[in-house]
Amino acid sequence: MKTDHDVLIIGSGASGGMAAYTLAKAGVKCLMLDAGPSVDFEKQRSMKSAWELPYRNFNRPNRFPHITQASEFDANLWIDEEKNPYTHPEGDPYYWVRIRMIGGKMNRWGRASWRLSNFEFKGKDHDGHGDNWPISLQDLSPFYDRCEPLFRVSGRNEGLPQLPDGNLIADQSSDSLSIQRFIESAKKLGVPTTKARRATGTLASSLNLLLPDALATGNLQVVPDAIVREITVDPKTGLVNGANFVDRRNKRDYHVPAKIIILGASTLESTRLLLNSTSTRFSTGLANSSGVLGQYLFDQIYVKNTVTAVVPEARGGKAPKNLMGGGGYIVRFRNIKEKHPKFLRGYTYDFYSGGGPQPAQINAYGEDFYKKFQDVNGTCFGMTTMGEVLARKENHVRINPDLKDAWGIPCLHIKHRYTSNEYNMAEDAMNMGIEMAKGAGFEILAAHKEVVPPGESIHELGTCRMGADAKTSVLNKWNQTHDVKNLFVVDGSSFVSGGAQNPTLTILSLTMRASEYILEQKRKGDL
Amino acid sequence: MATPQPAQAQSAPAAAPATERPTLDVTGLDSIGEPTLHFFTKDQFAALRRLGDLLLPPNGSIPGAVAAEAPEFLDFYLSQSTLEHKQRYQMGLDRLNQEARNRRLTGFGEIDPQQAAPLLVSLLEPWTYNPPKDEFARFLREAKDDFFRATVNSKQYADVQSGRRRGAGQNPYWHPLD
Repeated sequence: MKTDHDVLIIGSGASGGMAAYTLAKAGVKCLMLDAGPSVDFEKQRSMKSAWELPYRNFNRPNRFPHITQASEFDANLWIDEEKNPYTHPEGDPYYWVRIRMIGGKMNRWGRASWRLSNFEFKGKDHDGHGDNWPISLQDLSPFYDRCEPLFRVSGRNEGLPQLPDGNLIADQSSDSLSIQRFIESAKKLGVPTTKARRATGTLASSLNLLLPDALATGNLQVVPDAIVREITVDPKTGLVNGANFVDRRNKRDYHVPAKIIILGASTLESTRLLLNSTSTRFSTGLANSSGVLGQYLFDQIYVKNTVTAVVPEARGGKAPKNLMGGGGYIVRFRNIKEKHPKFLRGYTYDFYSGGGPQPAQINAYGEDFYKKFQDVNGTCFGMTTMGEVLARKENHVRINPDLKDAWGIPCLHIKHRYTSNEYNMAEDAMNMGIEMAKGAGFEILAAHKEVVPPGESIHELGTCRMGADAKTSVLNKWNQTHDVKNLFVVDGSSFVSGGAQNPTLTILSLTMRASEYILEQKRKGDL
Repeated sequence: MATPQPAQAQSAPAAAPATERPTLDVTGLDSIGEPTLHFFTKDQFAALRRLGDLLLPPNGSIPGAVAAEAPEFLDFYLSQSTLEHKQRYQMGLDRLNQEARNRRLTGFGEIDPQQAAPLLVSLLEPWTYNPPKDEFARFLREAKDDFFRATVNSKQYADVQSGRRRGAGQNPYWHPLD
């Protein structure tokens, strides 16, 4: 054995990074494999103008059929879809957005950091749909309390049960007059608002906040370019005993042994790896005695720019001082005390003041276009909706036996379809957004209820979910597989439901909790 | 025959210290070369160029689509684009030319703004999230968006907006990671 690690961690993003951070600092020897390269922000980035790029920032045509977030500036960060294909049913597109590099998607995340509440953890108790998590907010709160300062999360506590208070850097900034008007309008409709909660700092990633501290202990080895093909199982004990991986650059194959494996390769990559890790004992995928591995895929609906409005007093560049600027967040308000007739669960919005409309939204051309654009530039108010998607068994991933990636690893077939619950929610969000904006005295420039395709929010969750019952879930309440006690899955695949909150803070907190459980079990000699 | 001398034996020109990474001030291809047309027919390109001028004319000292060579860029970009995108542009430009010929012009390339106005009327409709169902209206909407991006992302536009300061309007570019 070339290394003497105690734990093999697969993935280096939020979950893998937090596992390494927690375990290495506690003295546990960790080996981390990541499918992507190590990046050097100094050498691999430089400043350029759009005209210097080969396609004037249009991007090479059809380079990213499913990654709408990619610009020509950052095109080299996103996964190559030709080398990493997947399939979805005809007519049901799924936008699987991936980054493979040390630090994972955390190098590009939006930093929104919200806690889940018991409206999510115990959602079934509240409205009867789906399943409860096997943990409650009270179980995870101590870990949220520690993760928020680590990622320097700023925001404002409001004392709302659907938005648990956090251990935050207090955001004491004042609101512009237009934001004050909007908040007042929302309040009249019984809609709560708050400041955005965001991780702060130049970079808020596993790359700078987790991995350096873990490496400094001397207990972590990070191995880039290692694509894990499968996790291996000892046929005698049924425990995992290692991983087969391939060098991304030259396709050379290797094996590494493991005593404990923590899987944090991202929601769908982790599940893909488990489904590809078949054996006599686990013929349908590792730790899949329940048969639910791959099922209950969900994410969050996004209605981008649900409402774009104009603050009329700002037209023509005449905005008084402090009228424009700033923004905030609308907390879920549906199905908290009353039951909405058309949908379960709820949605939230990001809102902002300032800036201009999209040029396409100006219904003019030629000189009139310039005049109209000039008139409203800097006057805009906008809202984007994020809504809960119900976890449903029929939304699932499976291995497509006819498709392999550039390294010969079988790929996923992803089936995810939204239902009337999500579409009715989006319509309500549009109508409420219009009402709140009008109530603030804003003029509606554009409004719509069109939901982006499943996956595009990059908040894919579920498919390897936690649960109290080993017959209906893959993981127990410690993110430990029911079937294999030395195998843990700590990324978004473990979610039972997701609310409308961005999931990263919960992934970090779940991983810290699972890692401390591993420490405890090791101390007891149970692992 | 003289024995060749090893390279290191030759006297080296005066150079920056070996530890310094050289950065050369290079010139972009767009700045020195006349673009070769790739995709559209002569008639289609004439219509495209006129359409660009109507949609985004010069705005004071700020270059419009034509000065930004946006039509030339779109001719190149469309040549590599999807079949659907190509066909929509070809259909739209052919339609513009046909409508111009119906007005006894040789093509859309010589149409004046008043004559063009009825053809571009769909651009005055309020914006909707989903593109228009009418393919010609959809073409016009896409062309307007493409011309805008190709223009504001041009060197000509950047030079005026930035007052030729290199740092203005720049963003971090990620080089290939391998």
